[in-house]
Amino acid sequence: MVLRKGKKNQRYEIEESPNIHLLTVLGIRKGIEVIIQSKQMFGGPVVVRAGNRSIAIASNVAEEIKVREVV
Amino acid sequence: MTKKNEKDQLNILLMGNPNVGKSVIFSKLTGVNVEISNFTGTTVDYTVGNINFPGLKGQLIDVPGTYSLESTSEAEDVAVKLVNDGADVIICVLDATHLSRNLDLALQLKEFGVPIIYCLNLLDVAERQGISIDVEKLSKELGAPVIPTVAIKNQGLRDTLLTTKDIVGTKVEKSEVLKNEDRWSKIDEIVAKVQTKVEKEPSFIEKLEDWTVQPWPGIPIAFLVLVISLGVVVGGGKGLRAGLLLPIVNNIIKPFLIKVVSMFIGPGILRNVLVGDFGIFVIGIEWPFALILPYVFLFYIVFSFLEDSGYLPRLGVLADGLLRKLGIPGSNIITIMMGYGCAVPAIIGTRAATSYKERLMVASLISFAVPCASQTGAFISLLGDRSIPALIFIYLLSFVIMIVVGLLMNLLLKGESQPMLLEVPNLLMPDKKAFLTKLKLRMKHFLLDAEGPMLIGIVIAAIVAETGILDSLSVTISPIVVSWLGLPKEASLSLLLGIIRRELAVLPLLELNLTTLQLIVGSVVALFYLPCLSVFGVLMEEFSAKVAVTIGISTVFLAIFFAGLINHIGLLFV
Repeated sequence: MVLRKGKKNQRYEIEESPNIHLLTVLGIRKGIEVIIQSKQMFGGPVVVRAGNRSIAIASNVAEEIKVREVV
Repeated sequence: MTKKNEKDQLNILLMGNPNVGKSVIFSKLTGVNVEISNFTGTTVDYTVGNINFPGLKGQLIDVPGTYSLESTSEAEDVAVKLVNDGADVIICVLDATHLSRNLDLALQLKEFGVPIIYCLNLLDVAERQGISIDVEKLSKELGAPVIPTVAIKNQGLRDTLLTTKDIVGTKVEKSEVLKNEDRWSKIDEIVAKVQTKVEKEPSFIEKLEDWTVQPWPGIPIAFLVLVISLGVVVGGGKGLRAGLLLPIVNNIIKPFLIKVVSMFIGPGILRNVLVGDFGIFVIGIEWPFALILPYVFLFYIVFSFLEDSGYLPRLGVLADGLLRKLGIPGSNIITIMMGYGCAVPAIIGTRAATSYKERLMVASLISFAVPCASQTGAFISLLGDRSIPALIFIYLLSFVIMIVVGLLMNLLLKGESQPMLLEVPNLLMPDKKAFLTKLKLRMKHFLLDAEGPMLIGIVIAAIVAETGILDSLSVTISPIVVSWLGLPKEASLSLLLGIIRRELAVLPLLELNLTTLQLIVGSVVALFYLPCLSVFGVLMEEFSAKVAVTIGISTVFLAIFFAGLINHIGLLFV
């Protein structure tokens, strides 16, 4: 599934991530686990926690990030 | 390019990711003389200050924060150029709460063969989050000194300087250039070795950090923050003005100046120009210092506090969905808010925009419909005592126009903005010294850039009003002023002076005894009217003469058209 469709407070492992430089240096890349912290209204960004930081990811980018649920 | 030092001066670079407390460290390590420089040929500014420590004298350059050095943005290019430009030492600041991401830049910097010292900063926050890092092991892994610091509490800064002194001139091998994937796995190895983490019950700040990025309760919190900010600026400004500044100006300074001038100059035009009702020494003191300054001062206190606390990017996240409908990514809300202080730094701030269209749109919105703090002060003086609903109407109108202008420009202009990818920084209490330094710089800029033109405007106002030139000028533009806008012909002075400073389009109306409708019309003219001369100048500099003239002419047209419309509609009801 894609990150944008994910549920709040659920942990996901990233399986595939678009090759956007800023995304990778922010630590969002294959194999990393993230928790969805919040989703914004009006098609706003998805905020995920990666490690100890919150990162806001535009919904159209979150649409391209493939993830797997981690229990 | 950087200014070259004298021979014995060292060139020290302060580098790191964004939001790692680099500016705080910078302000603590350097003295009072701080300069902002522009890297030639780019829109990237960096700050330079002096280090003056026994055995260690040199310039410290606060390199723009970057996540890597792969030269995918202007800031990264500048960072690389500054390193290649002959750095003697690099002080690289690491964020202890997010070590893995920070190590990316840390390892890349070792490829240059420049002596490096690492500051492991924000250790207190890390501890609060249950993270502990073995500093000695980390130092061994990085092959360079690592100093634990809590910059905000001055911890570790002396050690940083002492160690910097020690490593100056040491020979450092360039480390091998790794491919991204290899570097990342090396980082994972290092982190596994040096970092341990225990789950901790979230503290209040962490809960607040979480709430402020949720639509609920984040959006109510955002409103609360904005209402409190507004209350401090407007309420506090009114208090300062009425309780302190106006009495001082009216009871002490003005009578004194009038007395002194009257001693030397007999009654007549010259005396009127100097100390008449519109005299240079009368309004020249009252307007800038009693009516405008308190609002500007309080605005910058509030804004700098919000900025340093890490709250503003959260507003950007919450507003992104809605603002994007206007074609503007959410982070621009920070630039727009800045415009409520002064349009000049806000327009320079549009450099952070990700596309030309976005930049032009934000700059236009600020020029068209965002009243600056000076103007707010003027509006409050004009409307606050007469009609609070009228004051609220003016600000609601500015929102409506912002949305309309935004929608129109989004339709007319071509171009795509970058999607939002943003690290939300930790919330923290701003550091007092860094905060005061910033406040001082901002007030200095305001006093130099704004008060100067304002005084010139007031001199023109005094001469024009007290010598009778105004009367003949009024006749020329009276069709617009009297028939279309329904204002007395003396209000022409506002239109004339509004070109120089925004608030000068409002303040002359104070003396005219207007009806509430006339006050609203006058305020609407002032709200949309040509941004001041300084804004015109900065638009020319940052964009082009064409953009500046287009914005200038359309704002004047919109102001007069719209205000006239309101006048004629209003007359139907009065």
